[in-house]
Amino acid sequence: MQFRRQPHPIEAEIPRLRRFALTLTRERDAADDLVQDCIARALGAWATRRGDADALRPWLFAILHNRWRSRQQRDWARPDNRPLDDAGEGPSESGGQWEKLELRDLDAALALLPDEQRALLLLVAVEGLSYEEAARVQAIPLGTVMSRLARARERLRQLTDGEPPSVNEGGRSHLRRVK
Amino acid sequence: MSGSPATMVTEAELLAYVDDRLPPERRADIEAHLALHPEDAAKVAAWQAQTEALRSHFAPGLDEPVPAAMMALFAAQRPSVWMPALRIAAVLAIVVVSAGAGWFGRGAMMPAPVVAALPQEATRAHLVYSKEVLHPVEVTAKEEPHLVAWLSKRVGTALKVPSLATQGYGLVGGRLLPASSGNNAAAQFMYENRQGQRLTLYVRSGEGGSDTSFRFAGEGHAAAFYWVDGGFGYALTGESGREALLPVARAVYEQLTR
Repeated sequence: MQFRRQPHPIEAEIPRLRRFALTLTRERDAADDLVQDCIARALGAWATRRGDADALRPWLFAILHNRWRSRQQRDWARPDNRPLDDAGEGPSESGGQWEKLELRDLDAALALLPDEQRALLLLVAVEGLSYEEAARVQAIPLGTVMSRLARARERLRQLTDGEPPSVNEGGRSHLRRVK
Repeated sequence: MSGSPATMVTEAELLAYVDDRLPPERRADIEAHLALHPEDAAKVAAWQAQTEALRSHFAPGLDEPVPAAMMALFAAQRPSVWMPALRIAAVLAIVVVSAGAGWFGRGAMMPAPVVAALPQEATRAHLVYSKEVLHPVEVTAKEEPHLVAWLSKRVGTALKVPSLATQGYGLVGGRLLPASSGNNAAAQFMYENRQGQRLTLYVRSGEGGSDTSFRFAGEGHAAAFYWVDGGFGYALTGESGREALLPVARAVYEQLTR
């Protein structure tokens, strides 16, 4: 005997939700915790979803992003918490540590981006969301999406030493030491 | 940026060019601009390469298996509610079905309606607590006499805790859980082997049907063997697969029904 049921439309989105959550948190347990939270809320709000007006994937991403942000705010008081400041461009945002890092792969470079810049890159470049959808997910104006995206791309370009991160035969991106 | 106002290109347009979000008629303007501005051309080329690199970097993330605990969230959902148009009808249907049985107990595959929710309740409890690192149980096996006395009192029968040492499992402890049957209390005993795999034995009262033999139910990674004995429902749940679970479940069944 099996428990039989129709798969819920959200189920197919779980791998993407986990990937998005991991991009935001960079920590598997925290990411999965966030996805659990997101799914529970999405199921609770399922009936209020406005049919076609809320495309499923961006709708779910928006819930997840929102949950992530409220956790960030909750944890704000923690002294060891990294600043969320999106505008930080230079070494100061991570205490200058990154300058000394030997960057081994794209993952290391991405880790140095502010969380929301990294997340936006995933949304636009990988998930293929429109700028409007990305703006709704991150709850920011369209203009901020454009400037944040430009900053993220330029910062990533800098971090990869002016060269596009290329994937070598070992499957990992090769990056030079950051000056 | 030089160039006549007619061909003035903004950074937002360069982004949109890379992301292929420009109106087709504007693409040619951008390409003309890039041909005259090597710095912007280098920037665009870098962004394009970056996009490719990001796609291959993130691609493997989609292949990971979904944790059972996430799927368990859907098991708790009522299927028809997923279709907004059918929502009201579904709610009515659930009310009617629930009146006689657990909503899950529909269909000819279920032997006795009241027993139907047992493996599901047990599986759900298993998925929640077997993942726990810090608090898998409320009372540990160190206080086994107290644990057994407490849970026996709450569930309403003298519980026996089977020994699964022969099968390689030691008792971790147990906890009290809500149940949808009988006096609404259920007991869960957790076992663990050397590899850290966990099994849970779930016991609840109020199984109205007659005694049943050994039955099997599976969902996703989790599988349960369950039976009813003297008005009490028992379920042994694990994630090691039916074959591995069967001998353990048989040992539990034999010790408890002897």
